[in-house]
Amino acid sequence: MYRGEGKFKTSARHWTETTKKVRGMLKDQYAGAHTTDKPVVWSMLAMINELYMAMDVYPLYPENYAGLCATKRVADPFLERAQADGFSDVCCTYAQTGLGYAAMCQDIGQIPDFAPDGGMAKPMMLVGSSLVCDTRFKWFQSFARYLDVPYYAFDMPIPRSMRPDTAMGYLNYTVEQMRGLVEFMERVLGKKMNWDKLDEIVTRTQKTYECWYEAFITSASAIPCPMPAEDTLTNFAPAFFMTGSEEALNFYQELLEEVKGKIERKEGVVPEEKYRLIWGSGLPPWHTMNVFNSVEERGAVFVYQCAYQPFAPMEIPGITDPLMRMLLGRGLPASRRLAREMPTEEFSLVDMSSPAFFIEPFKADGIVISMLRSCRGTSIGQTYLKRKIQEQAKVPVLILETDICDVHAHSEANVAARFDAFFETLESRKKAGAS
Amino acid sequence: MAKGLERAKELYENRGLRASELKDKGKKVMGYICCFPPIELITAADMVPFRITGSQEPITEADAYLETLMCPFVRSCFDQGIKNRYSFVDGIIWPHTCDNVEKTYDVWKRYVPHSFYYYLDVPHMADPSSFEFFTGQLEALKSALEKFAECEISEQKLVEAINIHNQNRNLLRQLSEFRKQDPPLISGSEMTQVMVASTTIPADECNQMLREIIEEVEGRNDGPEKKAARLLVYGCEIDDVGFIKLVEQSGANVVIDDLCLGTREYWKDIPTEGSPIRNLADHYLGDIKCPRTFLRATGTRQDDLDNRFGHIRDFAKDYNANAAILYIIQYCDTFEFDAPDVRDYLEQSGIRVLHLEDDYVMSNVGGIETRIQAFLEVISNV
Repeated sequence: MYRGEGKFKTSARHWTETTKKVRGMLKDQYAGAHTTDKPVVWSMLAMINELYMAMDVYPLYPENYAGLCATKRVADPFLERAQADGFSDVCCTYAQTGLGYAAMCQDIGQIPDFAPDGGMAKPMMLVGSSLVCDTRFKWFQSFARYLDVPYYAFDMPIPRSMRPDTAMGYLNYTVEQMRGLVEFMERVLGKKMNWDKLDEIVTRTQKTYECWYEAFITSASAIPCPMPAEDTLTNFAPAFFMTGSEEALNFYQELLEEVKGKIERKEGVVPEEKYRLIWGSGLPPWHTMNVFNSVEERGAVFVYQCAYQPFAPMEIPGITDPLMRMLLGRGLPASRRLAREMPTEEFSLVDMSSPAFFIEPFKADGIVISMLRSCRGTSIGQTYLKRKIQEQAKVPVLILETDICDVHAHSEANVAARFDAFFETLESRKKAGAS
Repeated sequence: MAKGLERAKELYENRGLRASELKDKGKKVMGYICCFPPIELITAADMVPFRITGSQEPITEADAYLETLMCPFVRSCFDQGIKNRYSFVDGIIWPHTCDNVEKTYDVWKRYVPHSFYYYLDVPHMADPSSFEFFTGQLEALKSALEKFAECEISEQKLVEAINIHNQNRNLLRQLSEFRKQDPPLISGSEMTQVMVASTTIPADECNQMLREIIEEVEGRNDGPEKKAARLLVYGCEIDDVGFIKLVEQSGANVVIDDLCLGTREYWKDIPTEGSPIRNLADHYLGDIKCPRTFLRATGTRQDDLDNRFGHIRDFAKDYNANAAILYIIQYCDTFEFDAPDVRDYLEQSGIRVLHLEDDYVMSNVGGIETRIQAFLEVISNV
């Protein structure tokens, strides 16, 4: 038995009924991969699920599976297996979990019986990308130690200016890289891309994203907030891992309706909100998601999280290439749409991920940032952001040291002590403001 | 003024020495980090290219700005920057090489004062579209440098700069040839000093220094002693002699490397025929074998490994190295991910490997020394 398994409930309690369906949807996705006639691809998240749907490929996302292993507190054996092969214990623990899983499958010739949801079905191909961090293409390259399947990685660089001459260079390059992925799949599968089908799927994605965006932003703006971060850290999954499907569209339509209904009825997570918080940059500790519920006992609620935000489509008329439409559909983070501005001068990528954008629109009193031992992609710049937010927005910022999958990098006692101090600060600020 | 190896040592120990002198005489100094900014563009703009390095002194200021769970080399560079050790640097070219470097740019730009900042996006892929994209990035960099330096970088000036830097690479390769002898005529730690020194001065001065060093080394009779083992060192940034010296003092000759301040930088020349900007793009994206650049697999797994790591095996063979040390700086993710494959590949090629993960400043020097000594003992008994 691993730490905590079967003893304590460490996952989060959810507040929206629609969110409670996600677990079953993902369970079905993993189970379905074992019985489907479609070729299975293991993919890094790069917002390209539509391509798999159009090519009749069945995608699984090992990073999502790693999070599931952490939530179930069974990641340890996978982490240890990867480390036994020489992978550093500071490497991304999504990657370590995935590599350890593949290595153990190879070791014993089958999926380990403790793997949640029946494990990940063996893939026919792998797809990685450079979006967000280096690990996303390096990790999948390392899979070749255990899996003899073709691998395609592609670039998704982020421009530092939205000046048309700069931004279009980036967009055109990324489209070419995506076209390379299509050609790769065509070669491996021996069939051609159905571009008309892709176009339909992309249109459905755009509708899905609109509902997703509206549900998240409406909820975060409402007082009291009806859908807290622990819900949105679960119900982002269909938008990320089932993009383009009818199922995802129906899900967000239902979620939006539920959120609107709760707002009308003034149903909040915490009826009398004492503090409204933002889960700032950094992914959550999947092994200890009840940390979100813990603040609710103090009259606080995480009204928004910046880890998995909805996209704000860029509107450029006359674009017909479905690949370009895909890219533009996720061209801007929510913060830009809220700010209603397009930066034309060079901007800071770290600043672009700042939770500071959301303080005023969501009437936030404080920000909590998770600094992850194994994640450079989200953690570098957080100290800088904290300094800047405290200087400019003058809102308290708490940095929690933890990890996405490695529960040993997380101290519950330490987190509780930090929260105690943080809430004292919030309280004294509130009193000072009232006087 | 000191000459040859003595000059290299002087510049290694006081890295801003010559660049500061030149700045005082009116030259602009352009800083850069990592292997990827094309220094030929800086030279062609009549500026002094100056490589930003870290330091073995304790990090005391950077903690307030950067996380401790990131690359300690980059943190050390920032620590130097925030302490004004690079106050003589007029501008900075900051490439997107890895997450650590990429994300530090924003923090550097806000807190370390220069007159010019440039973020150079370097693709991670090396496809035809990537080379096109990177060529565009270099065109934009060229325009920005022209504006800052207030001079035109003509095609002729750029070809001349490529030529002078090619001479630099050629001289470093000539110097490396002396490492083939047993014992080598130049030690690994001396080579590190030369490499660091060569990134702090203009290319023409560097060529002069290297010619002096070659002449000195060729005729020397006070070179390194013959040791029991001949080693290759693989890793990312080693800009201090401490680690190499420790290996050498433990009983080995370090005879070749695959390092960022080593062969990775000088092993291949840049063609001078055709578009010089395109040639720069081809070289920096195509020739520098750093794990941050993804090489697409073609053929079998073995073909892929040969393509990615065959040059390390060949270095070991050509320099008669019987073992290798992988010196991996903690939190350097791209190297961390490749390390198990590099280790297995070299061992399958008959090269014994010691895989070390360190914090860049060897805070656990005793533990590292013990592991090196044990490793040398094992390989000497084979």
